[in-house]
Amino acid sequence: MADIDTVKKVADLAALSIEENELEEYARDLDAIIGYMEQLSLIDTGNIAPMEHIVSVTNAFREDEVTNTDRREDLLKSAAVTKNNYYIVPNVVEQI
Amino acid sequence: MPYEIVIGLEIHAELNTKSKIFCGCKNEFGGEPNSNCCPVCLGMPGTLPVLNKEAVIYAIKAGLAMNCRISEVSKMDRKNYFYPDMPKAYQVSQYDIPLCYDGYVEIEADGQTKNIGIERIHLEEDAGKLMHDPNGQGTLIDYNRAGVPLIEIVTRPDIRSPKEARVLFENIKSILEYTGVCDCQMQEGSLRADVNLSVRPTGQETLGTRTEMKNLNSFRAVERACEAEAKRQIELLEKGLKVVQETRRWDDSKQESYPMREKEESLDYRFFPEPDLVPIVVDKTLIKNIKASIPELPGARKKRYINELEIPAYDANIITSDMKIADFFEEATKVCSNYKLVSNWLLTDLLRLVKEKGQDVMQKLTAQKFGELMVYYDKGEISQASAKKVLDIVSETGEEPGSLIERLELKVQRDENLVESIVKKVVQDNPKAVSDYKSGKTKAFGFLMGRVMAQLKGNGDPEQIKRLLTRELKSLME
Repeated sequence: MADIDTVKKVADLAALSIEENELEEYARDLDAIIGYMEQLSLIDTGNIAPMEHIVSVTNAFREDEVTNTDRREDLLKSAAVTKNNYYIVPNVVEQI
Repeated sequence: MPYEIVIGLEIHAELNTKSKIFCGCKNEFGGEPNSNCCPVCLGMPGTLPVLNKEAVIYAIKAGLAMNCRISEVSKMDRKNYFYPDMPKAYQVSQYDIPLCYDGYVEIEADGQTKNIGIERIHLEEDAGKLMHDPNGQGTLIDYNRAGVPLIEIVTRPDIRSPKEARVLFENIKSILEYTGVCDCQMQEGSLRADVNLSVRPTGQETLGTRTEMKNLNSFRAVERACEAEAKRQIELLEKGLKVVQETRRWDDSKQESYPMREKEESLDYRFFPEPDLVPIVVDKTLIKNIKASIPELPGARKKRYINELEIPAYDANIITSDMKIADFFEEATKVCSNYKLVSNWLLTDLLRLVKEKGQDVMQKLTAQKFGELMVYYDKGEISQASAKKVLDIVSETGEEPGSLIERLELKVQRDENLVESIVKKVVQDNPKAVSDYKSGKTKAFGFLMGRVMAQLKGNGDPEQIKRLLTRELKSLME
């Protein structure tokens, strides 16, 4: 059973703010989701090779070439705040 | 109580590719803010990354040069975190299957040779740069560096002293330079190290509590930070206190570190396989081709210089630590086979010129001309002072040493009859000095020699002048 602390932690890691009175509901929902996924563990995978990726393609590479040009003006437009061609976000503290 | 220091390094090196790791943006340092960005590296919804093949090749090359095993199949993973240096809210890196693992790099420090284990080398993308607005108007972000390909080299905790840490970092830098994997411009941040350090009473098996130090971008900073941190930890233990496991930032200007603010909740990156990128499969042919492209590495070169060219170990170390210098040396020795002479002049005079005038002097001078000049000097055709003069001029103008020596009339004059006649004339013209000499004032001999040398415009052979002058004075005294 997902407890309240787990919900708080997951929310914090995902940068979601959840009201105190919603925590229990989220815990129940999480439980239901995890329970649904649990069905996978019923399948016997003993003879199945581990899968690296959902598609069977490997080595999809691009050549090392510069193909993009400076599109600063266009791209900066999609930001809420910019200044002298920098993106601006609210002050952030140094983080590891 | 004696303590043992245990250190491991994490070295980040930006790869020398033309474009970024997942998009066709330019990989360059110092461009206008946000000028090398596109929807992919800015993490716009709906965009898809495509892995740069050259980045994979460089990572494998670094791995092979550090004696690593290469994963036949590896993959990229997402490291999730919220911090605006990555616009996607995650960094694409490698978690459980790095491209390279289980290697080693040889170091020589404190008179000992040993191998430091390389645990893994993985491929990842660099993050953008944050600048804190001095007016407190928010944080400014430049995403030019976001998506620049990077390798992280993680060593085993095999390092036992600050000096070893420094030498290992130096050796890894040389290897990355020789292989062309990274340009190693440390002042631009393309090569940087984090240090993990703990101390334990000598003889104790279990490791002490370690701290991590970030922000080390010079060899000296690594050595000093290790010294200061070991001292700090030992002092804590001596006082009966505990070392706290934490991340610290080293301030090289103040020579001290301070703890970085950590989130209350311990970080959990929730790694998972990157769904937008497919696995990387490395076949034997590719490994073989990459191996063939690796030049003779600094360690091997150094040994060859010491054993075959009989260059002192200390000198060989300096020459091979910079590939440009080593290549220059090698070229020059093809012209002048007095290896020790070439090495001496290279380490003193050439490096002085490089320091004074920058790396360009090596292009102006060329190893060929440097070698030719050494031949003239080695054969005694020009004096040491003239050789230095020629070196200075050639490094400015690029003129041929031979024609310059001719033009400035710098060839040593050894014509026995000519020198003898000058000696006789100088003796005749300086009766005072001669009588001083006769009365036992040996200083006068030096004066007379100087007069002869001046007549020869400095191009005399001191041994020959000494011999002829001695003979002349002797004949006068009989």
